[in-house]
Amino acid sequence: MSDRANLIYRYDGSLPGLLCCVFESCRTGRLPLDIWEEGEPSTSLAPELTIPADREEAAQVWRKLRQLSHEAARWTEVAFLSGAEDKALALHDFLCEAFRRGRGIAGYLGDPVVARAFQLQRQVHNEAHLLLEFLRFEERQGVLAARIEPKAFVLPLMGGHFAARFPGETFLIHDVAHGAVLLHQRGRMEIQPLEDLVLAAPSPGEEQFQELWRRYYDTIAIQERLNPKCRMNHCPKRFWNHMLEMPGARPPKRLEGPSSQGEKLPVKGRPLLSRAAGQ
Amino acid sequence: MEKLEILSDAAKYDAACTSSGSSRSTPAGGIGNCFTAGLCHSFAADGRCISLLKVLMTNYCVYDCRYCINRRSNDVPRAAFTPQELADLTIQFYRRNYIEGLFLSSGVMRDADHTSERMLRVLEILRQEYRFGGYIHVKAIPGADEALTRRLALLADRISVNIEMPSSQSLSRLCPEKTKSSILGPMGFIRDGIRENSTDLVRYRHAPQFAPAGQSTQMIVGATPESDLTILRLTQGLYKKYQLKRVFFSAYVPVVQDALLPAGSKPPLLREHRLYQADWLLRFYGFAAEELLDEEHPSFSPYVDPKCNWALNHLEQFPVEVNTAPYETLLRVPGIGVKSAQRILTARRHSRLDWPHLRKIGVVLKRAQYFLLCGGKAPEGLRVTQDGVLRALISQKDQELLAAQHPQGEQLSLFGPSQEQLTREDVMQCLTGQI
Repeated sequence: MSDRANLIYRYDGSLPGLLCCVFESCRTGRLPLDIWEEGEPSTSLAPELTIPADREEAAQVWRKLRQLSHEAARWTEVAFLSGAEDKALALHDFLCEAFRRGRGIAGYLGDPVVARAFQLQRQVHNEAHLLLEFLRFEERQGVLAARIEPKAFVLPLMGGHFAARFPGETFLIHDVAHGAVLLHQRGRMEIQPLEDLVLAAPSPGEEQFQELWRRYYDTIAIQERLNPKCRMNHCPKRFWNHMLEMPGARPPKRLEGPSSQGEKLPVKGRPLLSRAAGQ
Repeated sequence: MEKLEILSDAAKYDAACTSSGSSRSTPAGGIGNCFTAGLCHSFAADGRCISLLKVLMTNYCVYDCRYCINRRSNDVPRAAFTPQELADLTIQFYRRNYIEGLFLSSGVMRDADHTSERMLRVLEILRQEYRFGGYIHVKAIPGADEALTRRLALLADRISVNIEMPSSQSLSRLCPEKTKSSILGPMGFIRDGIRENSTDLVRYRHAPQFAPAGQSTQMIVGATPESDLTILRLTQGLYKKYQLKRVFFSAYVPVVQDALLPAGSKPPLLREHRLYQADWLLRFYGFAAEELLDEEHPSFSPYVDPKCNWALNHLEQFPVEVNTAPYETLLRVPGIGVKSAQRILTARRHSRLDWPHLRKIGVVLKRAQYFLLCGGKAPEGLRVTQDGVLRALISQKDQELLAAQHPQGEQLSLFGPSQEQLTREDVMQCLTGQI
C-alpha cells in the first residue's frame, strides 16, 4: 500500500468520516494523495472521491482499532482535535499502518507515519496542558468565565480537570478560535457551538483581585535575574493576550458585552448563555 | 494591597515553587485538588514559574541574619497578614486559576511558637472552613514546639526547613542566632513523622497524611566560600539521610550590604544552573556526587554541563550501542534523558534503531552522536577526537569567551589550525574550568 493512487478523498470533517476514508483505503488497497474536507477549495488536478460518513463502517473500523491497540485509538481521538493541516492524511496513514502492522503499533516510534501521529497527539496534549495552567477566570455574577484562543480544539480535554477541581462552581470557557463554549453547572458539563458571548458585569471585588494579582506578579520577579527569553520559552507569547498579568494583555474589561442590555447571565435556569445577534 | 506587595517582595528569594508530589481529589463540599505532576500557572519576568502564592505571614523578625532582607536591623516597611485575610486571598486567587495553592513562610514575630501558631491558624481556616484541597507548602520555624510542627505537617502537603548556608561555619558567621542543630533538629523530626506515617497508612487507610509531598530545603549559593563539591556532597547527604524530596539552590542576590558578604555583584546564575543540573543527575540518573566532582576539580565547568563533563572524562566507556545498552548506561549518555531513554527501550523492542529514528524519538544528537553507535556504526563522517567533541559541545558564544579570556595565544590554538599539539591534559583542564 505504499504507492499512492492519483486520487483525493473528500470527507465531512468528522472523526467517523475519516474512519470511513480508512475503510475505503483498506477495501481498495490504495492510499489517496490527500484528504480534504468538504467545502475546501480544490488545489489539485487529481480526481476527487467523496467518501460519505457511514456509521456502520466507522464503528467497524473503530472497534477493530481498539482491539489492536487502545493507545493508538486514544492517540487518534486526541490528534483529531489538532489544527494541523495534514492531520486527516496523517491519521489516515497511521490507521492504515496500524491495520497493516497489527498489535503494538504505538511502539513503532521510529516509523515516520507513527511518529507523526505521536507528535500530533503530543502537541494537542501539550497545548491543553498549558491552557489548564494559563487560563484565567473572571467572576461575573457568581459565574467564572474564561476565554482562550488555542490552535487545537482542546475544550474536550480541559473540562474534566476544572470540573474535578471546582465541583461547586458554575463556570464557562469560551474558545474564541473555534467558536465553542464549555459550560459547567451543578455537576453537568457540555460543549456547545457559539460565536460570540455576552456576559454580565464583573462581580464586585473582581477588579480588586485582578489588581492584586497583577501587583503580586510584578513583585515576585527578582530584578537582578530578569530573563525575558526564559519566560517566553515557558510561556509562549500567543497565550499572553488572555493572561491579565502579562505585559500587553488586553485591558481587564475585555469580556464585557454591551452593558446597556444588562442581561443577568447565566446562573438561573437552563439557558446558560445567550447568543449574540446574528448567531 | 500594599501588604501583599511587601510580604511577597520579602518572600521572593525563596526558590522553591513547586506544586508537585501530592495527589488528592476535591474534598466533599470543598474546592481544589492536587495534581501529582504539579502545574505552573504563570512565569514571572525572571523566567521562574509561579505556581503558588508565595508570601510571608509577616516580615517582622527577631533574627538578624546577615544575608536576609528581613533582618531586624534592616530598615524596610513591615507588615503582617491576619490568618483570615490570607486564607480569603488564597481561595480567591485559586478560584480564578491564578495559583495552585499557598506557600507560607514567615519572619519570626515575638517567638517561634507564636509565629507557628499564626501559620497554623491559616492552614486550619483553609483546610477546615473552606475545605480547601489545593497544595500547601509551609515552612517549619526552627525552634518551634514539635507539637506545632507536627500539626502544621498534618495540614500541609510539603513542609520545609531552610538550611540556608552550606556549612556550619558559614551559618554561625552569617546567622549568629541560628545553629546547625536548630535546623537539622526539625528536619529529622519531620523525616521521622513521614516514616511513621507511612506505616500508619498501611495499617489504617484513613490515617491523616503527614506532609504527603515530603520535605525540602534550600541553600544560598555564592554568599559564602564553599565549593561546588561541598555543596553537592551536602545535597547528596541530605537526600540520603533526611530523605528530602528536593534541595533548592538560590543564587545569592545582594539585597543588603554587609561587611561579611560579597559586595554587589551579579548573582551566580550559571553556578546555580550547574548545581541544579547535577542535582538532577543525583536524583534521576544514578550519579554520585564523587563521580561528578573531586578534590582536584571542586567546581563545575562553565563551558559544558556536568553530564558532558563526566562523559568526556570517561571516554573509555563510550561509545555504547543504542540497540543493546542497558537503561542505566543509556541514561549516562549526554543528550539522552529519562524520557528518551524509556522511548528507546520501547522502540527497540519493535525494530532496530537507526540515526534518523533516534532524532524522532527526541534524542539530542548534537551531543549524543559522539557517544553512541547505531547497529555498530557511528554517524557518517564523524571523527571522534577529544578536541573535536569538546569544540562541538561548547557553544559558539562560549568559545569566544574562552578565547577572550586567554589572549596569549596558546589556548587559542585549541580552536586554531594546530590542533594536533593539544594533549589530553589540556582538554581536561579546560573542561573542568581549571585554566
